[in-house]
Amino acid sequence: MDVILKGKYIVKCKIKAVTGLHIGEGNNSLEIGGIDNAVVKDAEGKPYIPGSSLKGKMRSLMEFAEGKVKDELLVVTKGERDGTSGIHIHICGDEDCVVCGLFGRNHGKHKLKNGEERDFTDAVLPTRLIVRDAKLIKKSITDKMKENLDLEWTEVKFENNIDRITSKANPRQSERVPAGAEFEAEFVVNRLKVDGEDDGDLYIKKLIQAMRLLEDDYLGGQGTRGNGKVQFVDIKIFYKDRDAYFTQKQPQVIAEAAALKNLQF
Amino acid sequence: MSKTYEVEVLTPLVIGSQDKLQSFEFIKEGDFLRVINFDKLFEMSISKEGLIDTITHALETNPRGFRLDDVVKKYAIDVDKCTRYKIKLDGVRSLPNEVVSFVKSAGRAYIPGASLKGAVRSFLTKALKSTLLKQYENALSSAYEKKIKAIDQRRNGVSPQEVDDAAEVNIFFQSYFSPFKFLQISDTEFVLYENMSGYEIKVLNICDNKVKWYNRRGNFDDPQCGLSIVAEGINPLTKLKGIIKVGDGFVLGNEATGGLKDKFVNIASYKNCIEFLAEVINSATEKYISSEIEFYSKYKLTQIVAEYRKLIGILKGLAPNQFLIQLGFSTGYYSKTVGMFFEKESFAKLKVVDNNSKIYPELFPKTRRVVFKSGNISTIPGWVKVTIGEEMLKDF
Repeated sequence: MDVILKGKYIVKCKIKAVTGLHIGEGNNSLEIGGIDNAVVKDAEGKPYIPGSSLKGKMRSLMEFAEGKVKDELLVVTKGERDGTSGIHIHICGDEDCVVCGLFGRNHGKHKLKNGEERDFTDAVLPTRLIVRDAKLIKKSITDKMKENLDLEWTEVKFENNIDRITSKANPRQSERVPAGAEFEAEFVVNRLKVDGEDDGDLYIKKLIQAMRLLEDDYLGGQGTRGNGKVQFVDIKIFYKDRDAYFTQKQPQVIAEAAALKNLQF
Repeated sequence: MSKTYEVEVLTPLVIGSQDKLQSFEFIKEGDFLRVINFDKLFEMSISKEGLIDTITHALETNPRGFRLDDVVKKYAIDVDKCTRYKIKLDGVRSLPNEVVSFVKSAGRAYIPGASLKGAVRSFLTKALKSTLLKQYENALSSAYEKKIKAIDQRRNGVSPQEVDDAAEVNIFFQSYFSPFKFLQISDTEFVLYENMSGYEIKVLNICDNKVKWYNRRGNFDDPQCGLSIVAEGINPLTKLKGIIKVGDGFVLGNEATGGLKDKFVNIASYKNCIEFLAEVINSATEKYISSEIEFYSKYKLTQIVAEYRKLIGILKGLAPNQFLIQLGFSTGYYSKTVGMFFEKESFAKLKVVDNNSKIYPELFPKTRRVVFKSGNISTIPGWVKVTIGEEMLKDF
């Protein structure tokens, strides 16, 4: 396969938490004085949005939107012993598949949900989409908000599960980033020419579509009951062709908008 | 597709947070409650000699008698600089030492999506076919038998928080396969403090077939002797927006889950999932309100009966994308459970299963929480009208 890098689209924007945001750290151990269900934090103790959470969620939404969630198109990434559940993602060998084209394929053998084994190595290309970790913009959590927070950057939300027979409440707590917090995000989409065929703006448009899908869905945990509504704001899309890396040429801003809904792209 | 939803508060809505405001955190100023940021007050007062000692001494020796306004006056503190917020007290006659605080995010009140979704689930459960409802009564019977066995063996045996588990899993499946995965309800926007008030709630208790008002010393004829609970609530007529997404899988199911379509009776032909959701909830609301009207009529609480009749009037006039639902604090056992469908004998079993609660099988529940205004019975808390709007307006 003949692959040439034509250029890079770079999307810089902010991600605004419209409702509280809970991206769990995935550590269930309890520390004394610690909090149940903590959010993921960086080395400075500030919450952030891992690129993997963003990319994973957008991939999942695109898989549904592109009609790729079918047994014969899903591979098992983590199986459960009983075979009824587990984690499945879409990977295929179709060179025109925009989901695999944008989010990438893995090397090696895969077990499909329908039991078949397949190897998509021949179709593997450098992954076009790179999603950076999104750092918290400190000033988005205002002093007024900080006065009312339980922890330095985050709050503790309590929820109850109520027994529908006895009405007894079963409380649980989770940490979340308060609504209004903003994160500095960056996405890079590589524009490739594969066997003489130029991607053009196909994949950057697909990324924008995934961002739109995410705005109408949720990011992180407990999203069906309140958390995780996000908006992309202060968006700028740059294009740098490959020559720009060899010369002093500045990247071009090809689109910008205060919010995704206004983005003409 | 995401849509906006709008909650219109019909009767004072209280969604309690885990914390209560303590008397040292608020000052009553006429008809207003000023909530103080205690940390800030301390920070501002470092230069005021003796202030911190006075406060800590008072809180250690006589916390109930502590009056923050006296301290503020004595030390000439500019309270505006350490005020979190001020809300109106709506006809509150007696202000206790603690106030139920409304749930807040970084100091801003809102309706959690979890509360609305939880209420939706409770009301949908109340609308289930009788064969499915029966499963809850069966679950209670099994818990009862398990408990009896455990008592014989001097063990605890059953957690009252898990009695419904088997019925819930049978009807709605394990969370991984649950149709409720297809129902997303966001938190609402924040509420302005001018749209919130302190509300006085009293506990009505039926004793010997008569209306009494509960307090810790007993039950009294005169409501003024009854315990006053003051809670921060959202005022009627306030409207708040959020985002809702009801996937087709919620009603129709998909390969992993059966959906909810066949779990209810008397639902008109299926048009779309929003109208289905509204119709099912309204059918439960109608049954629930009717049984409450019967209860309050029996005890001649005409004001509450009139309030419920008003709600029935609103219910009858709803558009297909609207529903009436009760949520939050002080809404009672029937609102949160399927208990209104239980046989009388089941409450005898409930009494054994949940031996820490006061359960009188001959009349259960025999208490209700009622909002008082200027010493008079006013209304019942927690009723809202939800309208599911056009495709998402991007302004939220």
